[in-house]
Amino acid sequence: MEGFLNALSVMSDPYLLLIVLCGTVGGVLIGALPGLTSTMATALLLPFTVMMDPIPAIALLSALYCAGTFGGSITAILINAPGAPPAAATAIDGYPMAQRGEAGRALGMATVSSTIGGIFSVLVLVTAAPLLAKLAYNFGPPEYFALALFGLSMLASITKGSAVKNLMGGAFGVLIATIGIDFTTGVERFTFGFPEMTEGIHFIPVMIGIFGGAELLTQSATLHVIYDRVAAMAVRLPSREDFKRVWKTIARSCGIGSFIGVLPAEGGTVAAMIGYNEARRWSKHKEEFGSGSIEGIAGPEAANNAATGGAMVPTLALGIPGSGTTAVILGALLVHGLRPGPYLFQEQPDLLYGIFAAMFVANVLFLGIGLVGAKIFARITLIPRTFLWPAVFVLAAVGSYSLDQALIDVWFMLAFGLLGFVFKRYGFAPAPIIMGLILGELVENTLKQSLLLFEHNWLLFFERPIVVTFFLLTLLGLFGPVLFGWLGRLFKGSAATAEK
Amino acid sequence: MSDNRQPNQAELGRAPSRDGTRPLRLRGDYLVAIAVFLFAAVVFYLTTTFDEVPSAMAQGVPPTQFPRLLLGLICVLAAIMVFQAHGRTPKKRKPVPGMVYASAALLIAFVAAVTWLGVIIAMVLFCVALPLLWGERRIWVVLIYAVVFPIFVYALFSGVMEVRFPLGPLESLLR
Repeated sequence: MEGFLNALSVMSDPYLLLIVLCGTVGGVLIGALPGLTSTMATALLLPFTVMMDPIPAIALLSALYCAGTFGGSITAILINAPGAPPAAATAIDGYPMAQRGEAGRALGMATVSSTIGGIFSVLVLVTAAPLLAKLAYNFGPPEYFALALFGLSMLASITKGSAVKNLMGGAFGVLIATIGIDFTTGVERFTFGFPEMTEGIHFIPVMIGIFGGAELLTQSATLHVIYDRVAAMAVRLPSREDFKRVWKTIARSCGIGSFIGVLPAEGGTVAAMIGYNEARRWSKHKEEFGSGSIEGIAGPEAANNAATGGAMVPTLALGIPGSGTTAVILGALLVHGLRPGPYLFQEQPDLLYGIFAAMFVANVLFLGIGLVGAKIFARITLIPRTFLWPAVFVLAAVGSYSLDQALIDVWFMLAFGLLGFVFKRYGFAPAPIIMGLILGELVENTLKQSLLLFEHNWLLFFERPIVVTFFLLTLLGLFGPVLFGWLGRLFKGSAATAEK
Repeated sequence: MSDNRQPNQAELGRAPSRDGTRPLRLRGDYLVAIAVFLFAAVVFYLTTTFDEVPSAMAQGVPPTQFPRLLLGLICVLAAIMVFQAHGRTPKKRKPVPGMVYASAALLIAFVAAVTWLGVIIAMVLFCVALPLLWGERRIWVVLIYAVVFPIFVYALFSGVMEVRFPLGPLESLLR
């Protein structure tokens, strides 16, 4: 409670409040644009935040993250094209509702359930992050190595792409992180004689390219697609009957979203899909799902916004990103010279309060923005793609250059943009590569430090209980889906036999 | 009674086609696996070209070990991918439209132009070329956009964020 009050007192600074307002409005606008995700937007915005102080910089990105997750629902409901992947489940029932003239009711429910989910997740963040950080005080290199490995193993279960391809993407990201001077021996690796590469490839141009450049090429393949737009009506607050019907769904989705968010690498998209499925499973009106159920909007929207605060928990407390966007925010922390983890809570409490407060205020702000301005924000989709995407790429190129004022970063951005398109075409999602790139240094350094500590005796890893726990969780992350699927089939089979 | 049941996807993948040959299966994943193995071979070769570790640092983990460990892991995962792809129905991929290649070429030309012509000229040319390539026909709007937006971006980064861009002919004149 004290932390939360401290967080709110940080927001008495008008400059910070203005920054959060800009982040929220920008987030809703960007989230509403199909193709432009909050992950891409935070990556594009990151170079601008380098010149800012850490607190407003991270507060801006955090507000954009929360608002962008909500913004996706506007276009999901009005044009059946989710502005961001976490809103994909919202379109299933939101668009049919809009088609039958209930766009205002659908948008109102999306706004309110997103706000409840978001605020709940901030409370989870304020409570859980310091506790988790306290636990991590005793972590040494072996524990951090095991933790990073667990984080990477969770890539197997994120929705986009197959588990194997996600893991390959993660390993590829870690491999990219090995470029540059090896910190224990001073030997150059994969630098090809370029002095600019001795410090490795900057992850920001890679992120900008893989999200922005690749998406531009994807958009170029779909220029012929014309969205069937339903006119937005005045947004309506959910009625008492609607609330009565959905409060259990919202409460359930808040729990689901926060839990999924806390798991490393999982994010709003997974949370929204589970939130939607659970809403349908527990509903008394299952037959309405798919043709415009109000619960079908409340479930995923509360869940995907509840995942935002949840995803910040491992990011801040352990330095392990909880989602694609928090990987970018983690990158921003590193750019500002801050290493997330237990010591961040000890040394930079103001920064953490700033983040908590920014996320809380962003959730409150987009309630107002969503209820009053959704109709106006829906018009953002009228911006022609022929002008939007050249602007995105120009900002991507100039932003990549501005970090170190090196042209090689622009070439890297381009290369990873082209590569990202090819990867996407063959089923490789971009988030695992970024996750691997961000965690790569931590994995290698802690492994090497551990081996030095253990005098190259690998077996000593297994004498540390926390390490063993993380190894077991890693195995569960890798083989859990297969194991649970097999057990499920086994139980179904035995139940069928018993019935006979 | 005739069996009108439609074969499922898995059966379609395993069944020979009418001419007796099996359909090409998941060519994409096989292609990916070949590319991954080739990539791993090249990167492995590159690890053999690393400098010798100075003797004072030799007690640590060799710099080649971790990248090689990762390459091994990537190859194992690629093999699992091939194993999973085996026997499944090939996924039909639409060919990449020509517009994607043209857009990619324009992106490359833009970055090359930033290098050789300077950032302002490159941005103006790009903001004219990409909208026109993507079918925008309101020429005056394109021209206004191609002048106003790059100037705004240049002013923002150069003026506010104090970024020093490489000097092209136009930037040299402006200084």
